[in-house]
Amino acid sequence: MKASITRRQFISGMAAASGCLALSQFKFAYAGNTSVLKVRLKRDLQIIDPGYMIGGQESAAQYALFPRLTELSFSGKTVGWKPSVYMEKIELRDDLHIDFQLKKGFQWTNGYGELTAEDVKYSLERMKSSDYGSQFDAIKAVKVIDTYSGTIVLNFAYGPLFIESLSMGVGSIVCKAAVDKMPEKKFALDVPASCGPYVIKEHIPKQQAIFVRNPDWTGPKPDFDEIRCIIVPEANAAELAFEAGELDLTRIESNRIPPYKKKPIPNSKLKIAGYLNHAWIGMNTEHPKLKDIVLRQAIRAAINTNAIRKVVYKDVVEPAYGIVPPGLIGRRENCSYSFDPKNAKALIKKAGVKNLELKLSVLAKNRQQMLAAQIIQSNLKDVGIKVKLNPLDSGPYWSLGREKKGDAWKDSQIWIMAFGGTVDPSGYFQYFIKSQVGNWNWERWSSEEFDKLYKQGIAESNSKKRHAIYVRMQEIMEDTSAYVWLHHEPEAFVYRDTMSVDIDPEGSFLFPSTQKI
Amino acid sequence: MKPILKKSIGITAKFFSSLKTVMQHPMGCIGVLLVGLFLFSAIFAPIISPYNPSDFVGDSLAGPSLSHPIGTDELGRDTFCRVIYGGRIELVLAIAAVSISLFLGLVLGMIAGYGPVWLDNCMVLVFDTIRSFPSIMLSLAILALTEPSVIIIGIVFIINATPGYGRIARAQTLSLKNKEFILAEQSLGAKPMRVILHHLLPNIIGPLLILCAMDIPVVVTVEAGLSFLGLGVLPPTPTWGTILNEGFSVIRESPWPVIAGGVPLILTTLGFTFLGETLRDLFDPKLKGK
Repeated sequence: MKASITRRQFISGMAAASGCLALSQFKFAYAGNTSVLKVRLKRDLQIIDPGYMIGGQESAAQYALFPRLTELSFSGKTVGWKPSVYMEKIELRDDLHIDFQLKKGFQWTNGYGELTAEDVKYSLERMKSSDYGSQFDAIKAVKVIDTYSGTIVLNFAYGPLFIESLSMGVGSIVCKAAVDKMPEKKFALDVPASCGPYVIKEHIPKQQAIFVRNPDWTGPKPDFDEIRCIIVPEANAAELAFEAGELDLTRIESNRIPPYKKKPIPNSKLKIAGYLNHAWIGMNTEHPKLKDIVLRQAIRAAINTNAIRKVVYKDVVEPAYGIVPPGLIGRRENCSYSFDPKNAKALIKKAGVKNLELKLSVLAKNRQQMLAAQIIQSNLKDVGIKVKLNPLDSGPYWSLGREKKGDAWKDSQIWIMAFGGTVDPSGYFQYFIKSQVGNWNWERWSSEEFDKLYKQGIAESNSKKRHAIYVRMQEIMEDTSAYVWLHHEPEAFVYRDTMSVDIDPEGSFLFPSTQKI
Repeated sequence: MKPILKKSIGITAKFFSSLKTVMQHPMGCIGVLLVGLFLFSAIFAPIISPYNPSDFVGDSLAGPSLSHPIGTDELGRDTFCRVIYGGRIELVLAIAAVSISLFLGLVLGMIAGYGPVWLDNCMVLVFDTIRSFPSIMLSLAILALTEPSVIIIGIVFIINATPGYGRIARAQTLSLKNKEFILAEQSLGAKPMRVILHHLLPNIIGPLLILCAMDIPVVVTVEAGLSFLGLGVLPPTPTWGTILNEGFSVIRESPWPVIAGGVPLILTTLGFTFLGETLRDLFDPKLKGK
């Protein structure tokens, strides 16, 4: 018998086969949803090493990969700390000594053995000379007592040590033996050894990072088998992806809070992690065009920050009068300047500047910054200053004022800066001390009084005195006229109502404690 | 009557006669109307627009009203004005980029076709080398290395389009250079420049002009595409691509910015394509009578 097939039969057969294949794929994806948490990252991971990271996105990776001595605890709107799951005990013996004892049995990956007190000593002491060294100034040394026990010896009493230095990403403990083998004893995404509930399975640049359960981890088993961090720079695209079920958890732009509150997405919840972000317009005080303080005062008076809050952020942000957000010690209630275009014109005249053209750098993928930049551009045009926008991707943007990253700092002029914050005010000021000029102090000024007050502030335990110190420090910053305070933006997230999420005050995800409900 | 005046009257009469022929075809008529509308709004933008396109003149994302015919954008700028001024930039960019590409392509193509074989081979190699780059990748690479601006987008188009025009001009020149009227001119002692300008150019420019008409919407869409990706013109300069990009961000709050950026883009593309197709159908000798 001769087998034959007509064209129509062939097409029908192919269509049926395609349908079966599609259905089987659908079934697989559905099964996957039960244990895969799909999370949006707004930018790619760059440097996971706690000493040299940018922060934010990397902190989430650090929480998943590395041990810390303490971790954050949340009770209503209050954020505190508690010993981490790696600890047998951690306690303050007196103002200058913290005793700790690690639990036995936590293993580093790649055959680097057990987590020991030597790793704690190595990690905390290396942070003192890192980019985040100022957060570890209080630590004098770590004394190792035995394999699992040790004592952190402090130079001075430091209240925020537990919450800020030990519980956040910077407090991550790295593997001494593994990091010592790395070139320059640093690492970026090439994590040499980890000891967290998850391990990095795959990182596809600019696409996604996949974390899977660490099979050798002896701590409490996390709820999700796999965390898929999908990089979606555009907030709008992320929202659409969330609504389409492609993401389970995403940060949303703050101006989307009113529509979400008005018309919630079915089966989802909205979470405001806090108002700890602080944003300002910075000016490079060493740039030839901006050296004159009178000109900087003029720029400050020309920008309508109220319009930015109202039009771009739909009034969901808190006005800024400095860098300390509302509710924290050191928050100011007003500032010494206001929007006054007439005064701005008079100051420009006084400075004797004509035909000034400035370059305003912004994060290209941040739509709100792009909109705010256009308002600033228009405001400055009204007083005779031409502004050219310089939208940058996150890599070049975050290198803009950093001398280690190239020569871009020499031509950086004005920029919109938005930083995350922590629950203790000292964290906000660490980036402006003299040693940070050319690193995170892009405005490139320094003040002996400021540095002295910074040290006083972190050693002071009296709240009223601390408040006065931090208010004065913001006055010093304001006196440089290198800042136009903008706002404190809420960190807002939407997530499926079938789970509970923990997000640190900076807006970084705490994957290990994300649970199904 | 002076010869120049007589000649210009002749050209004008020929233009109107051609226009009349084009208008007799429905497709050509629509093309002429749409292109005419585009040209009119672009040329008279300052008169038609009630506001400056960069001024904040209304509420954020207001719907259409008498004062703002197609509403406002997120910053309260009048979308109608931005569309009109956007068209102006598109027009200048398209005409400049296509003209320069045509000029360069013609000159290089005719030199390649009429010149010695070694020169022809070299130039064809250069054309093919440039054409072998994927045009989108080449555009993205150039824009990544430079500061986005209208000029850079124009240069990107010129780099991509010139070898195409050059190839066509060369092919036409090769097919004509051994024709009897050219050989007769050469035997009378005409220099190469005279042959090229007086005999070759008038015979090969026609098909290329039709191609140009069809490439104008290509420039417009390239600009819109690059601006949509954030690699185009910098704010606050309005272009249809930036209007579309901004509109996409607020599409769930107001559809008007996307409509305002998208509709002129579609109409202009249709207009120039219809016009180009009709011109080709009417004036391409190979298609005449088919």
